[in-house]
Amino acid sequence: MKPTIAFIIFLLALPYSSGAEPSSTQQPQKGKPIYEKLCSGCHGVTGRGDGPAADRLRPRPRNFARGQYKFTYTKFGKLPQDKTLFRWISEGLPGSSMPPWKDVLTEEERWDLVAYIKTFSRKFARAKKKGRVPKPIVIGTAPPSSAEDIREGKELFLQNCAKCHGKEGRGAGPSAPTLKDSQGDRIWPRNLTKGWLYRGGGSPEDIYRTVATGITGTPMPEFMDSLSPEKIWRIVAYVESIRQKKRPPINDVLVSKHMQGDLPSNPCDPAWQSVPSSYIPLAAQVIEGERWFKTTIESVEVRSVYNGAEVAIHVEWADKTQSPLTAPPDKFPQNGLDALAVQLPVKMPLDAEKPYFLGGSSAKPVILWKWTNGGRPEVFLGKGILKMEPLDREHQTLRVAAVYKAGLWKTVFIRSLERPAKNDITIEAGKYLPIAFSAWDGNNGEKDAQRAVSIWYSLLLKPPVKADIYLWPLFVGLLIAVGEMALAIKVKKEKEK
Amino acid sequence: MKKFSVLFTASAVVIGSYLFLKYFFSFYLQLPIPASLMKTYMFLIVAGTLLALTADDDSARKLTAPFHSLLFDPSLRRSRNAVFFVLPFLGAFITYQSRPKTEAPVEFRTVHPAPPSSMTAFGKTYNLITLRNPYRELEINDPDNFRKAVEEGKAVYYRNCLFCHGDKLRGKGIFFDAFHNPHPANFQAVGTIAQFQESYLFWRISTGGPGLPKEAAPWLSPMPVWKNHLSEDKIWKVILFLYDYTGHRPREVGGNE
Ligand code: HEC
Repeated sequence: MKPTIAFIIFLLALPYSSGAEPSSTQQPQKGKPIYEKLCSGCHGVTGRGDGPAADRLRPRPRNFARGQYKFTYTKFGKLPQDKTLFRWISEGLPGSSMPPWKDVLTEEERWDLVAYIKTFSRKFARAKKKGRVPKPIVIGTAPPSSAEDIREGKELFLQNCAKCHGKEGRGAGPSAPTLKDSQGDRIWPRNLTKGWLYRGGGSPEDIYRTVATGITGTPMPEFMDSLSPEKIWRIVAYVESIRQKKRPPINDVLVSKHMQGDLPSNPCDPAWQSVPSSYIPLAAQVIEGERWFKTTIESVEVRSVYNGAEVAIHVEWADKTQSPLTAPPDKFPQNGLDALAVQLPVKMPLDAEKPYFLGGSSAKPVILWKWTNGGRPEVFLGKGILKMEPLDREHQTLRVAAVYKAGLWKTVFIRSLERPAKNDITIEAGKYLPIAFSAWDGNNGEKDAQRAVSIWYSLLLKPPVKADIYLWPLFVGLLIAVGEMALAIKVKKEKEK
Repeated sequence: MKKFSVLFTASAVVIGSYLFLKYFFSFYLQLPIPASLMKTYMFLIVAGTLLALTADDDSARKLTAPFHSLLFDPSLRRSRNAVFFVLPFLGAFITYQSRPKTEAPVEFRTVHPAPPSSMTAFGKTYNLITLRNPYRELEINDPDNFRKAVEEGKAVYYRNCLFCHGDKLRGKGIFFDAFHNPHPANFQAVGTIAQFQESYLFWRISTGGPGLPKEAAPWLSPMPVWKNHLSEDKIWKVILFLYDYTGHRPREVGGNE
């Protein structure tokens, strides 16, 4: 019995064993076949970051031949420690195409991989020959932060970081559209409000590391020489305060609340704040026509209200530039139009059958409400992702308002519930209306089929709450009480007998 | 304690079945049972258990004994009062909970519909019953060229399928969240490619989501129509890769069911 218990404890403890120290038996030649099976598709057989997937990924897979690693505990541009590489292989880089491998590979296999990827760059061997070992920075643990620290952190953030990350931290600073990495690829400052997408991890210590050592190979500089540790910790405290830690939950039903009076047609109307929002993740349109793999719009957030006559849909999304740009940076001449489309079926579906989620088909078309920055809102009949026929303008009751501020687009689409034209949809309360979204980032060169898309969700105009949802429970409660009374009387009588 | 045992068994059977239906199907098999169906099952299970346990007078009495003593046993007065007090609230609460809620309509979707007997693509008609992967025979006859074909299939996968089906072929590519209904197939799981002939995959890959029959809700699936983007040759090679990477074997043509 006892050995079994000991064994179970051993098994339970296994996942917690640190693995932070390199095993002494690291063998690059054992890492090679693993690398070739699991890693070469993106990083390439020769480690140059040129596997078959590479040019369709953003950011591009790391080029190991350069010996440049982005997230390290060593000074900017210096070689990383083995255990840092081990960590990224084990945990992956959130929000990028690099997944965690600890569920597939043993610790030993991961250490062998570390040894193998180091063979792609001569820098490691050279450093070893000269007896140089990577020197990690000292981080310590995050000190407790007061409101005062956060306020000071904000000041420091505005002075040191806002040029790229923007005042609101959404990565929309004035320099944002001009940045390139050391390989000449366009690169965007992180939107710090979406904390679940921090590549280098989201703990305060991780944020400290990135601020202190910078991100090698990118315009993100190191601050360890210019700012004291106390100041860096204050910046960390501020960043922590604006960062949403977890991805919001995904709900397939978007509820539209009933309200009296006029609908808030201004996207910045404070009335919208009290309406619950739904998070809708978007994917690049990798499916039809001219496919597109590198979208920048990761999600939209949707709110909705309606009254007796109209429905309003508030769509908000992070975009680091307002396109068309007034003066596009010449390095990247892309200057398209930001746009958003709301997609609905032409009829309330009678059964489960819906139009094809990606723009409908000739047999079952969709209605598209499309807003384009600087243009008039348009309504289309969609018969396929690129087959869009404008519906007549005269009868359209669609109104759209849009505001761009600090890296965030906010739009409101308002339309009559009643269909404005014969081949259009009447929106009914209390029914599940299929709804989907497409978004275009003009400055990322997106147009037509090249966009970010969602699958079908359901919009439910929730009928106003009626009193009977409270009356029924009351009634049932009373009924049971009466029944109990009768039972008690009966029991008493029987006992008396 | 003894007189509670029949009631205990009954509750154990009912609760056990509930947990099994709920968790085994949704977590292990990834096939959650819709709420309405669950209600029907649970009704049958409760009714069945009651029938079985009240088959003879003796066990029927044993089953009701705890209730009887709760009502009549003077020593249980406190519990009796407590139960009487709680029941109306419980009833009211359950009624409130079971008010109509805003759950999306359940969509029944056949994940693996029967394939058609033939399909057209690349200007040809294929008989899906006899269709074979032209590269499969190289596995034995010409292993070097077989490896080459698998490698080419790998490149096709990483350039095209990775984003949805993922690095580990588990269906968890970067767009897993965005395409969560239906989510991309997990090729490592036993329920997918391991149970098909290669011709089935050829059909699914060539015609994608829109090629599915109605019972599989073709309008929901983001699976692309690959005959629009890839050659016939590349589709066969990517199929080789899926089996090679996962270690699954395709079902043989004409093999036993
Ligand atoms: C845009 C996302 C996406 C891409 C890209 C994609 N798939 Fe799929 N695939 C899916 C989804 C979602 C499903 C499940 C729904 C369905 O069966 O259509 C699926 C299903 C499949 C199936 C059916 C599996 C089964 O168990 O029935 C096969 C086979 C398949 N994909 C192969 C591929 C191959 C090969 C590629 C690349 C050439 C690819 N897919 C690219 C999304 C995608």
